[in-house]
Amino acid sequence: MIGWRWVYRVRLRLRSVFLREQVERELDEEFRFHLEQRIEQEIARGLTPAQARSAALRAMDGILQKKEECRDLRRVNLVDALLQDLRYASRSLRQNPIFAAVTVLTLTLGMGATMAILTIVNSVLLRPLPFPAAGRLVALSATTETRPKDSTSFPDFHDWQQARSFSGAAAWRRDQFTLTGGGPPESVTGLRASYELLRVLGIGPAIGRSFEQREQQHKSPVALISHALWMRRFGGDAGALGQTIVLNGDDYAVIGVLPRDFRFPLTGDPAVLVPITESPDRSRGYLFAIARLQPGVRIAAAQRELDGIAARLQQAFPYSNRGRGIRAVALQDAAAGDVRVPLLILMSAAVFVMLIGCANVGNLMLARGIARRSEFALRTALGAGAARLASQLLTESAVLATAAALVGSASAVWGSGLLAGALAQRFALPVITPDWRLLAIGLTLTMVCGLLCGLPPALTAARSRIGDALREATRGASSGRTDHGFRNVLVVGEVALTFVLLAGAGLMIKSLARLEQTELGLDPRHVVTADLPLSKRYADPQRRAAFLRQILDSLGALPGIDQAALHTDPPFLGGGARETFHLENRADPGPQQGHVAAFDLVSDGYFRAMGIPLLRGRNFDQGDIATGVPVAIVNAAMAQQLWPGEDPLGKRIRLYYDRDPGHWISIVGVAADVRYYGRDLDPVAQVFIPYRQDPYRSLPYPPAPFASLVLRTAADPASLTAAIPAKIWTVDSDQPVQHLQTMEQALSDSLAGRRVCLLLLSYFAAIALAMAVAGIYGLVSYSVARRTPELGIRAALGAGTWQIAALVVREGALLTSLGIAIGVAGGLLLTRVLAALLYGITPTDPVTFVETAAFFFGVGLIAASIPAQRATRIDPAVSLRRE
Amino acid sequence: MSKPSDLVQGTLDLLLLKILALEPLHAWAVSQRLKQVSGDVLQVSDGSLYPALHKLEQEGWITSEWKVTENGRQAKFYRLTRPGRRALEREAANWERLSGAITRVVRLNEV
Repeated sequence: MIGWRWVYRVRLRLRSVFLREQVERELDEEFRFHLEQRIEQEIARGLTPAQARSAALRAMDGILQKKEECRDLRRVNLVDALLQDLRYASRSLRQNPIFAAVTVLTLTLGMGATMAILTIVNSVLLRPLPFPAAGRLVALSATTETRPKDSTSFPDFHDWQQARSFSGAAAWRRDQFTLTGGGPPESVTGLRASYELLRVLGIGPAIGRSFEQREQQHKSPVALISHALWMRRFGGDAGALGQTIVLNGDDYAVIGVLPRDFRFPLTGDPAVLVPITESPDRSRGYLFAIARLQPGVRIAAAQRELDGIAARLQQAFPYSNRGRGIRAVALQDAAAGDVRVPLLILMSAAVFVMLIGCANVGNLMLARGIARRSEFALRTALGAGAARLASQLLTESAVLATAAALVGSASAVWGSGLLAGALAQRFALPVITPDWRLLAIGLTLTMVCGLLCGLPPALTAARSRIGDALREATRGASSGRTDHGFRNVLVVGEVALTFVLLAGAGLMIKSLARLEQTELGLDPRHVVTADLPLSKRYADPQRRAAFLRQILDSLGALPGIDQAALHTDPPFLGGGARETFHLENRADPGPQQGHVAAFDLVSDGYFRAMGIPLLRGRNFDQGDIATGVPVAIVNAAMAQQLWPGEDPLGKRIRLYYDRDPGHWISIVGVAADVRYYGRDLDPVAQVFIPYRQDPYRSLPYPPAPFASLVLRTAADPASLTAAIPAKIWTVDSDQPVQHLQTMEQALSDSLAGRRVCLLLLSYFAAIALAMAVAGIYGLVSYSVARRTPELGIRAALGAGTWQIAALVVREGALLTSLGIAIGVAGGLLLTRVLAALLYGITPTDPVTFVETAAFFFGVGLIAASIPAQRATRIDPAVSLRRE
Repeated sequence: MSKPSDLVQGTLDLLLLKILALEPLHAWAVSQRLKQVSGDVLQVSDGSLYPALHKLEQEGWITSEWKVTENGRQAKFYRLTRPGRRALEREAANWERLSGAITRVVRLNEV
């Protein structure tokens, strides 16, 4: 029953909105008809047409008001007013395209940057990992005094597994494999893991099976392959199971295929998964672990239990486990890894830029509102309500905000790709995909920001009293103090935020400079390195030595190569084969308790090729043959650590697990310390041994054979990148050659993460600086315009150019220094978060802060001096006449 | 909305509904009819009629269409809708009750 009524009502409403002009016409028509009828009637009564007309109009009781009442009844005035406001806004923005462009650009920059980073943060830090109950997965690693994250040994891992907080734990290690046979050799990332891995993750293979404990213990050559590899090599044929693939020259039987979307969060996409080797040496750290928390157990509780385990291990094995702790991190955070801190820092920077942008836009709008004060005053006088004016201004900012939101979202999608690309140079990132919910939030946020920016002028307009406004507008004298005060606050805030960003960028620039100046201990110029993973064919030490000798000889004969050498511990990878040993003529510390150092098996020319100076003793030479006296060279750090104040030459050491009791190794030389694992890591104890004298020959579990080339070139190293592998393949055509690069490249890559962060932070700081300068400039300019009459009077009364300029500049200087002061306070608190990315400098480095402040102050003065210069050119006669 | 002061709130609606219940009329004719039937007692300014009619239309009680008058002009004719007829019955009943009550009060004998 109600239905009918609504049919009529809705029809009318729709007509009012969509056929607005027709409805208006009908209204006019209806009234005209009435008037005509009335006039006819009055004329019939004997009035003249003119009298009749005025009588008719009188009888209408105010025809315009009545019409307006009828319009009001349509109840769609809100929509109407909005459309009107929109038309007004677009007209007024078209009149001032630069203002519109600057506003949209500013909001877009802030919004685009923030959303781009948020998109990455969302993909990396927030989106849950694709495993069942992924929140219960944790990553486990060892910690040392110097390293927050270190690999651990298999016996240690076995002890970690006993923690009752876990329902399961698995060991893993990332490895690079060369896949040969059935196509060209390709270098693939692989995962060595313990048999528990898939069960801990809560998934199973797509087809086939995972390997078992027995296979792991017996080093069975079995492998699971990735879905992509399965498709590529076997065309997705289930017959792949039981077939053979060749990894680093060894045959592996394919026993299963990993699920299509499988990603191991800590390494990216492994192409193969093979059993990890179980080495019983506690000092040989080569693996990490993941674990699944028991339901209801919190990560902090697990960490407490692990702390207890670590303490017991330290006590039981004081040498191998000295200072070693265990750290459990949510797998999600661990997967974000190194990129977590940079991302959060960059996100704060982006938010700062957005806030600064908002402040700038707010300032612009205020300035514009003040400039249009006379217009508003006039319109108020003509009957426009305060609310109406405010809503018009808000609509204007809403139009700008919408434009900025649309452009900003587009640039966020584009920018997140760009950013991800920049970060991916160094950090392992998951797939970055735009999240539409996030973009929706961003859109809303931009709108809110835009509206907030438009609020102060709207409020001012709503508050302003006609009289004052008209008076001010006509006189052009000093305007409301409150607006000006608010604008000052905005600019001071901008300056403060910008200062924090500048200080942060400054700290990072200095860290990077310091890192690049650190004494490496070797000469990286003209050095090419490459890794040669050795297959089981070279398991026999003599055969291996002969093979490597052949490679060195053929490479040494290559024109342009000065010195060819090889060793087993490639630099700057953060790896390092640690071995346990004990000293001659010292109390036997007992089994499992020896000294620990990084062992590097090297060829004779190694020190020359690397450019590492020998400090004492002699270099290895042709006399150090396999059957000769075992010799070693140690680095200065080790000599200092083990034989402080003694001569290390002639001292002897022995590997703890050596089954040969007489295998003592004599120290014949001391090499200079090298920052071997990264510019930011202090040198550790290192032992160099001639590879011919394989020191592992009588170990029960020797490390996997490996060789890394070091080639010092006379020519440009880049010109040899094709010739080197070709030469190696003349010796063995199946020999994989990996990571062929110049050492300078490797060094530069080791700093790439810092460099990317610095670049992005500097970029944000630069945008912020530009905005802040524009803010200072705009405010001082406005102030000059506002004070033109006053400055004119001063000039007329004899104030000199300098005095007037100083007057103006002082205002800018005051704002800048106030902002800087707040910025310093904020910076001292906030730059702490940078600590992880800094090197050799404290986050509150006073020099950096002072320098940044001085620089910023200078820039602020320059920004203020441009309007000041304009102020000095004020002609008193002109400005006073305007009064 | 301004209303003639001597009309009790809501009675104008009732009058208009009643007049339109008899036959569809344009606004001018409604004003003439109002004057005619009330014997000039109920004075509604020409102008005030329109907001009142438009309000009834917005409420869905009357609807309008453009038709040709007897002397060949286009005019907007209002007619009662079905909900409007029910509203009229309701309003009329209310009026009866109200006016009856008021009449009874007014006729009370003073002591």
